[in-house]
Amino acid sequence: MNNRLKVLRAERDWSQAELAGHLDVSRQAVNAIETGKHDPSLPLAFRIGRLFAMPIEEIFDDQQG
Amino acid sequence: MYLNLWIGLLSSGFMLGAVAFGILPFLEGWAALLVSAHLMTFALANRGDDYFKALCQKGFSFAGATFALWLIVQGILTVGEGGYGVGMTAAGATPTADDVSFFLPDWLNNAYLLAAVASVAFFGGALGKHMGGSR
Repeated sequence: MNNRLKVLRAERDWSQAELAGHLDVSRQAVNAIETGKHDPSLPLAFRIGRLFAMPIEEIFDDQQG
Repeated sequence: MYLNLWIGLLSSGFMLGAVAFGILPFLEGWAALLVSAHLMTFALANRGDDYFKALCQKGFSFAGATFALWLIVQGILTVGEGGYGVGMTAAGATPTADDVSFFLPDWLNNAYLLAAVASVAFFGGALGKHMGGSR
């Protein structure tokens, strides 16, 4: 699943570790999501959406729409 | 947390080497204790984040597949063993224990070996997903 997490993080000038701190996950988790190795669970996707004040579908693209 | 996966893989590798090939047998018990502690932690603890749980899930899938493969081999050989005895009986001979036991190698009944292989599969699967990025 493609996502805009890296772009959104860069816009705020956050490191992966800082974003991980905001989301209460490990830096490795942020890296895995950004590189598309891992799709976040629904609760984590909602946390990401709330953090960036955006709907989930504007951050994640399941390439089916 | 992720370091524990590497420690687990190393420990289970030592355990497998000791059980299967007799390499550094004095480490066997310590390796088994380390592996069991890590597996228990990953199975029961809920401290990991989203991604770590996904890695553990992949590891347990690999361990489960290992059990399945082991049982497939054991099942096929056991069925073959039973068939050999039936065949001998049908041919008018009386199969002895020696006649029907050569199909099953000793290592198939070694639970310690199975545990070591399954542990390597668990940690290898989890780390394979972590390093390689398989979904």
